[in-house]
Amino acid sequence: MEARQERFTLLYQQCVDRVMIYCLRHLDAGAAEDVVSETFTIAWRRLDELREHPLPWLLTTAHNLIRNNYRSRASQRSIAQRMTQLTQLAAEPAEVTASRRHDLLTALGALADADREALLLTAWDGLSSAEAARLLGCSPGALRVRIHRARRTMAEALHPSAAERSGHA
Amino acid sequence: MPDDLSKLAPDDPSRVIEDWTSRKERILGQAMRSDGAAHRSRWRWLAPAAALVLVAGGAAVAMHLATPDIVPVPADGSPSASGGQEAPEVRAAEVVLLETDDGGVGVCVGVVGASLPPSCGAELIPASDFTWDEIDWAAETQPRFAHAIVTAELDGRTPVVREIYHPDDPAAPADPHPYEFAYDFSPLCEEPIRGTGDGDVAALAAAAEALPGYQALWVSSDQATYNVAFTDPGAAAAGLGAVFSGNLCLGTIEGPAHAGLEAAQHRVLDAPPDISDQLRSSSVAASRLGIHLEFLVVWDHEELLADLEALVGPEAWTHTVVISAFYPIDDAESDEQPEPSSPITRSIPKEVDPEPSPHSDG
Repeated sequence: MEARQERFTLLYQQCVDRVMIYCLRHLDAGAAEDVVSETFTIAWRRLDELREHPLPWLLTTAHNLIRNNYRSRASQRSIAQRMTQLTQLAAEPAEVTASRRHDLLTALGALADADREALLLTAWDGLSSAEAARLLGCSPGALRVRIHRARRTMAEALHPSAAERSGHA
Repeated sequence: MPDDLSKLAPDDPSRVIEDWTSRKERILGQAMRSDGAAHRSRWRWLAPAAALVLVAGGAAVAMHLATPDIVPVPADGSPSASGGQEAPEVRAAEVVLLETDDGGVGVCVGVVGASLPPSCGAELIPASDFTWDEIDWAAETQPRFAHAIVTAELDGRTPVVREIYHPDDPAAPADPHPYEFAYDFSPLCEEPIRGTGDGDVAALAAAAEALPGYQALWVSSDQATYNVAFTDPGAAAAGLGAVFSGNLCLGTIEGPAHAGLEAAQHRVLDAPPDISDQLRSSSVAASRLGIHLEFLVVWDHEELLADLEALVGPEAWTHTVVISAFYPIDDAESDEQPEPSSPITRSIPKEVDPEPSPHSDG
């Protein structure tokens, strides 16, 4: 039992921040904590079945919990609330200026939900295309189209004058 | 842009959650106090949608299932922990059917020659369960051909055709997310510089491509400004004005250098046949919106994507778009289903266990 606890504690320490950050993209802080708690309770029960790299499984479990049990809580949040939380969450690396950070997060917030989620699962959560596609329940091809559309839309938003001139705003 | 975006990846929930360190200790304790025995989850089915499709001219009945809604989800929300067998995915593609040398039905996916009758730029995929008598809209040329929408399942890396629809059949599964190439050929700068050289655009292109970090060259829609993008335009492009006689804009666009993407493209084109045979076209596409590598493949199954990713490499892969000729039909955002008509079908009725093992993938 002790070895099981040790293994779970290690897994937890490695992944809990990532799972919480994922939940905070979709829920307020209180509900996000509830989902994290439920996710790791399930992970504890199914520890013996988990693979060596469990983050995709944990995020998929959190995703399913949010979809099944917290959908209304997630949808009640306004875009402004989500953006405020996203802005608070995002890192502030020295090599990205404050105005650039602001522009990027604004463009990110303007994306369609499905496109933004596809982009962030790979760019922020570190999932592979196949892992992100499985989480979202779409094909890898559909995921890559979403990511490409997200990148394109962000590029257009970050170069508005060019887009207007070419009629692609 | 996306590279800067990745740098913003959150790494600390305490930016939002007060006292996160002690809270996560509490969550850990709660989780381990729960019943630790592995349990068999209760499974449920989410709105299993099914439509019966009558086989044209036959008595058999095929069941078509809307796959996203029949994916079993355990009551606790957890997917299978260890993975397992998935139901075969059904996809669709707009194709040209061509008569094979032995009079059979072949499917041309991707590159079709525009002459009449059409020719296929790749090996035909046999639709051996079908005959031309069933495709009554086919042109009676030699060889016969017909435009169609087909559905298929994958057998290894080869699509096996299950249904053939007339392209105007309202029941034919449309692509829910058709790919559209976006571009922006506007000038790269507000005020172009006037070149002092006497070279033409060919000379400009040769000089630009020889410089490190070259990304793209395009003529603006007004045909008056030539734009050259580099990963580091300041360092690379200072001398270009002396080569060219026209209006010139120098700058950068999102993405890596052209040479890196082109090298990645050639690695894929030179790959063994089990990979290269599944390609239908490839290109390095660029405009003011960025530069990316684009592949059209027959079916972007996971094995092929993994192969492509390994060949292309991690840096270029983030700027690679893979377009699949066979598109998923289970990703439609609308639940509306057109009234089924009469596709030509060789579908196999599928029976799905309503209570699969927790080890089946979900």
